[in-house]
Amino acid sequence: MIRSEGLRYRWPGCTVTVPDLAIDAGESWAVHGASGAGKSTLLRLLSGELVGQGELEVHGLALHRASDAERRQHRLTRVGFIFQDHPLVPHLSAADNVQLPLRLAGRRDPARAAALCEQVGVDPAARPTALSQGERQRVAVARALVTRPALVLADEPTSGLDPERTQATLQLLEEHVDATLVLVTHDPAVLARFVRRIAL
Amino acid sequence: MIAFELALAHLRAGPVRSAVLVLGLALALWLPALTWSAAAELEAGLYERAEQSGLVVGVRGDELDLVMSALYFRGRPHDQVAYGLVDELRHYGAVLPVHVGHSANGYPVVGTDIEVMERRGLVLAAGRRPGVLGEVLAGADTAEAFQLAPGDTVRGDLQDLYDVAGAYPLQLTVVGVLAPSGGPEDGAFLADLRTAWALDGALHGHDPLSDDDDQSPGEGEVIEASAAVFLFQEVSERSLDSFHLHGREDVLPLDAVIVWPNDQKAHDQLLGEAALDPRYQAVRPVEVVRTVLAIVLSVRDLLGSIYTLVGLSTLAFGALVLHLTLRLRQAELGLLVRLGASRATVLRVVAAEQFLLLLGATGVAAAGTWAGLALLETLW
Repeated sequence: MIRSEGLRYRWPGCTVTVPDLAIDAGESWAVHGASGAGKSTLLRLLSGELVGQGELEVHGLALHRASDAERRQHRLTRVGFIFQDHPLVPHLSAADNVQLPLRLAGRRDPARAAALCEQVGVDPAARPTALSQGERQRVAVARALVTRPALVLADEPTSGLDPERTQATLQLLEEHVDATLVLVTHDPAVLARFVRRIAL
Repeated sequence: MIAFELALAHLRAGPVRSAVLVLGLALALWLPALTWSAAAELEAGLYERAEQSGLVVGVRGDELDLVMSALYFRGRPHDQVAYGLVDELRHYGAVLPVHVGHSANGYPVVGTDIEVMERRGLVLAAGRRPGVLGEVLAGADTAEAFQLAPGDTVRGDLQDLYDVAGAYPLQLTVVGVLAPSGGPEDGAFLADLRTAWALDGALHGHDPLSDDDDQSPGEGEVIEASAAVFLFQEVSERSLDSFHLHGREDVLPLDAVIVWPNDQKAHDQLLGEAALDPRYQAVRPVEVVRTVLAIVLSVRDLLGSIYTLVGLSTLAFGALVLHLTLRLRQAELGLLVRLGASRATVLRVVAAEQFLLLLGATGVAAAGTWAGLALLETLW
């Protein structure tokens, strides 16, 4: 599923070096490390948003050689991304936010978006301004799953949540994500639930 | 398509903001659009009428007054010419006398030859042409304003309430309604010249002055008619035969004579004769209209310069609003890129929103221009 060798990314002033990866399909991995170690950078490299040095192959696509269009297509159709702080488009309903990756890929499946909203326990017609932080987080999870991705990348999905919500989020991910999952966390409690880990 | 969907969703999410932007843009578009449209319509309308009207002959003086009264039934020259002039002008070409000294219900009553219908391409929508004294045709707008139909009556407006020797207002019978022509006839009544003279009082009917059938005084006999004689105020079967004229018809007043010269030679001859004759002048209505329009168009151009400045400042504000909006929406637009949208898609979302705003503003401006032109038409 994910293979990398000599992968690194240069930011102004620092370089993020990633250990060589060999992640098989369906596995769940946690990425941990100190602040600024490059955890989010790794996810952005895996999604194709950033292009680093070295080799990186995800689901058969050599991202280090792929074109911009190929990497965008990879992000739209093979990757589900749960961003930190769960940003939603404020003037779209929950269902429209969930359907957004499909619409950007030129497809439409309002029924699936509505069903995912209901699965995660959110009113499909609600606007983000009317949702609690926990509900917005669940919409973000549903959005990451709408394209039936082969790879789900979650960047600090439990950041700022209390222990109860943290457990609920992890349970949500376990219930609905049957793809490969790479999750970034600095929470020891979350890390403890993952056997496979990448240290940066 | 996603670009328009996202753009529309953003506009709908802030209806007040969107409405303010649309109205602001619409105002910047509406003012110049209305000014230019009104000026263009006025120009086209005036020129078309003037080009179709040959030469206008009338009393010496203000050319504009002469043309406006003869062609557009607005106002009246300071003095009139005699009807006898019509016969003098016939050898130059087709002639059409015009008398515009009266009104009924506030709309001008134009005394002329019924030949005007062919000249101006007027068509009856209902009824028939006037056949006897006191009968009129109602223009399309006039008929609509008062719901007039053949058989209805209107009364000539009092010209001078305090002229105790003046003619009393005459009742006019609408015998026909004209179809809309887009010309000044739509807002007027058309009548035979004699009806106009009857409104002047030059042609009148009254009770018999003596018991004799022959109303003329015998030799050495004097018949005095005082104010006690009842003047007929309507033309009916009973009163029609009593209407008569004192004096000669050729001295009765006209406001103008429109002449369509037979050829260029006749045209030039008439202009030459009129230049020498102290009784009247002959003008080319196109030239008079051109002089008037030069003033109107220079005002339009001045306003155009002002509107350009207004438009530029509106654009500048619009650009500032757009810049601030993009800064505020940085996270949202960045999210689209992170989800996999190309930068071109993001640009299309922003462009679609501006396009929808401009489309809305253009629609509002177009509707406002149409409404403004309709209002100006009722005022004009």
